[in-house]
Amino acid sequence: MRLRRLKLSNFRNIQDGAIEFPPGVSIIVGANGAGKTSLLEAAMFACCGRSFRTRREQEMVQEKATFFRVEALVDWNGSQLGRAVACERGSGAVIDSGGGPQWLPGGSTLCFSPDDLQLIKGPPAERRRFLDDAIGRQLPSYRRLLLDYQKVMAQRNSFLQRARAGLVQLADISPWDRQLASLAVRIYRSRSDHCREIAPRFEESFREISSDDARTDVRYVSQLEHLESGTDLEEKMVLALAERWSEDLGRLSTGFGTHRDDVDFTLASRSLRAYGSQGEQRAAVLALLLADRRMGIESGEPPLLLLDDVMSELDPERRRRLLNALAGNLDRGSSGYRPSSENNSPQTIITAADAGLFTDEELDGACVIEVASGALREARAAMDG
Amino acid sequence: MFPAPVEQLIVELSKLPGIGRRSAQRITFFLLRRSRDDAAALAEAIIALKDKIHFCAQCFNFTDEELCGFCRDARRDSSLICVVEEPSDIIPIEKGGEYRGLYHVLGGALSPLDGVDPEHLRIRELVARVDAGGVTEVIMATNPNTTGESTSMYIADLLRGQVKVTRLASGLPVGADLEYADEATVSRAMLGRREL
Repeated sequence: MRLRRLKLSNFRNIQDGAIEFPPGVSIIVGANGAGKTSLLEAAMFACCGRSFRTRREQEMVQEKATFFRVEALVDWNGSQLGRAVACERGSGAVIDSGGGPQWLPGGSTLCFSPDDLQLIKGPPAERRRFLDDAIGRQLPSYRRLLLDYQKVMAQRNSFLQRARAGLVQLADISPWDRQLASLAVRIYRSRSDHCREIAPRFEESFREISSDDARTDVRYVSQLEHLESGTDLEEKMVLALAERWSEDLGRLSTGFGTHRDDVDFTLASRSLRAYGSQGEQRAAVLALLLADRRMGIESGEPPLLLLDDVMSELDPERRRRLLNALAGNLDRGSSGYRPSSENNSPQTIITAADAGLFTDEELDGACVIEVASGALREARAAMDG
Repeated sequence: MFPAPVEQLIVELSKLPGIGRRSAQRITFFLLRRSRDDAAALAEAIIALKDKIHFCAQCFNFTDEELCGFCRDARRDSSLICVVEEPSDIIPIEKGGEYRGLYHVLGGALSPLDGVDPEHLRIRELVARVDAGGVTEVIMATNPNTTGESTSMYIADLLRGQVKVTRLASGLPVGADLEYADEATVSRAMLGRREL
C-alpha cells in the first residue's frame, strides 16, 4: 500500500491539514504534543479502521469538535482509492471506501511505537494477529478461514453449554469437531509455512538493525505440531478433540486448536520474550516489521510502515543501521527485488521530536514534514535520492 | 400521529422481512386508497394461507393437502431423498430440473448458538423414512456454511451403514467468469476439483 495524501479535520489535536506523502521515507518532526503520532494514527485508521492507541473511535474526535474526518488517497492492489472516514460523536464511523473494500486488510499498514513491545513480550494473541494479518494480506481466502474457525468454535463452545445443561448429548459434538479440525489444519499449514518463510528475513533484518550476529529463529508453536507424525493430520486432530471432551465440558471452552498457537522468537536459541533485553526486544519488533515488509515487497504489495518516535530510543549507531535497513529494503532485498515503479515501492513514515536526530546524509531524499500545534507544513522538499 | 387502525397496520407490516417503517407506511396508504374488495382479497389470502397450508406429512414441505405435490407424484423416484433446510430451498433445485427424487425439509440447521438442537429439526422423521425402506440415497443439500455443514455431518453419521449419503458439491457458479468469483468459493472449488 502507498499513501499519497492525507487530509484531516478535527482529528485529535490536529484541527485541519493536508499532507502529500512521497514514496520512500517521510519524516514528521515536531515538539511533544504537536500531533505527530495523531498523524500516524489517522493514516492507519483511515485505511484499516484500526488505531494503535484506542478501540473507541470517539476518542479521536478533537476535544471541542463534534466530529472528525480523515481523507486518504492510497494506491492499493493496482488501483488508486480516495477513502474518507468520518465519525461524529455518539455514532460509529461512516466510510466512503472510494470503490475499494470497506477496510483495507489489517496487514497493509504496520506500526511500531516505542512502548509497544507487545508483539514480542505481550500475550500470544498479539503474535497470532500479526501472523494472521501478514498471511491475510497475501491470501484473502485465509481471512475467511479464520472467520469460519471462530464461528465453528463459538458454536462448539455453545454446544458444550447445552450438553452440560443436559439438552444435548456430548457425542453429538462430533460434526463441530470435524469442521474445527478441517479449518484448524488449513490455518496450521498457512501459519507454519509463513513462519518458515519469514524466519530468514527476520534474521537478516535483525542483523541489519543490531550489530548482533547471533542466530535468530522464528518458531511456530502449535498444539497441532505434536500430532504431525503420520499423514492424516485432520483425523488426528478430531481424535485429539475427542480425547478432551470431558475437559472441555468442565470449563465450557475448547482447549485444543489453532486459537492457542504462539510464535517464539529466539536469539541464540533463547526466547526473546522471556530473556531478551529491552533493546533486543525492540530490535526484534522492528526486525519483524521489516521482515514482514520484505515479504510484502516480494509479493508486490508492500505494506505502509509507520514508525512512531523510534529514533529517540536508539543510539546513533542503531539509528543509522535502521535508516540503512529502511533504505536497503528498497533496492537490495533478499530476493534481489527492485521496485518496478513508484507505486509498489515501500513507503515509511517516521515521527521524531527533532530533525537533529538525523544526519544531513540521512535526511537526503527524505521528505520532512513539520507539525506545530496542530498545523502541518512541509519543511523540506523531497529530493531525488 | 395516525389514527389507531392506520398505525396498527403500519406496525404489523413493519414486522415483515425486508419491510421497514417507511415501506409499511407506503403500503398502508396504498391500501387506504384501494377499494374494500381489494383489501378483503388480501386479508382473505393471508388467512387462507394460515388455515389451509400445513406441513406435508412425509417431507415437511408446505402443502394444502395431506402430502405435498412432490410426495404425491408417482413419477418421481421415491428411492432418492434430497434433504434441505427450508421449503424455499426446494425451488432452486426444482428449477435445475436435474433432480427427480423426493425431498425432506429439516426446518433449519443445527446451531447451538441459536438454541437449535437435533430434536428441533425433522431429523427423527428423516431417519424413520430411511428405516421404512426403499431409499437408496440421501442427498444432503443444506447450505454450504458452518451450520449447514454440521447438520449434514450429523445426519450422515446417523444414517451411516444404512444408506448411501452424499453431499452437494460446492464450487464455481456455471456461466460465470473465474475472475469474478470470490476467493472462498474458488478455494473450495480447488479442493473439490475432479479429474478429466
